[in-house]
Amino acid sequence: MMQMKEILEKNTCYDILPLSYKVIVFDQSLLVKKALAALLQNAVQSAPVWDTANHQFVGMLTVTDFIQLILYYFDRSTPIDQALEEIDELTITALRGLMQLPCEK
Amino acid sequence: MYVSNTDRIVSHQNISLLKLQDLDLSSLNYKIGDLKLGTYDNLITARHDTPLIEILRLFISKGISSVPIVDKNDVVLNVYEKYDVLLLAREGPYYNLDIPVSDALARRPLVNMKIAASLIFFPQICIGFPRDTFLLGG
Repeated sequence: MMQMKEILEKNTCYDILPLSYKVIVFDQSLLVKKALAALLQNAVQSAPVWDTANHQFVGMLTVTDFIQLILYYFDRSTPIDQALEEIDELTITALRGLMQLPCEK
Repeated sequence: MYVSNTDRIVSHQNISLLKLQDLDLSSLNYKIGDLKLGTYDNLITARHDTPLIEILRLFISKGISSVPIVDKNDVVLNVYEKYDVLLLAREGPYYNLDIPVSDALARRPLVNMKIAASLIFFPQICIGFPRDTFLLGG
């Protein structure tokens, strides 16, 4: 067990990074449907979100966000056509704004 | 091989820390059971006919990343993971979330899902035991 403790204490995150790796980052103006496609294509669950205007990371786009998006429309019993239309235009920024609205049932 | 009581789940996130390159891991002979790595108490499970919407709500409300699907004898049939929601979202329409989770599992690519009590081992799940070590699990 001491060896495990040593390994974990002595090594940094940098040490476990591969020599060469693909990094997925989303601009917050990206359409959610495109972000979804990118996540699936690269077989990753989540990616950091970048704010180009302010040159900073503003959060992570994770599966939880998609679950909440699904539940958002489910709880409002939105007709499927309308939901698809809205999701089609949805950007990551808009998605985050949507999640902050109280749920109207 | 039978798993007669599902009281533990170890997700890859628990052990991904150990993918240390160029380091000697041959001494990592710890048993998963000894380290209590995973969830042992208050395990949340679902049945094959549990509506998908219920499982989605569980992910959020309980803060879990996967749910084992068990039969009435608590035998593990499959595991529904958060990642599978992305596959669901890709389908397009988010409607009909009242479908049983077994339907959603059937949509996983490349696997022929036949959920039967006699079929325990699924290609995409490895059932481990507490006596297993990290090296065995790979």
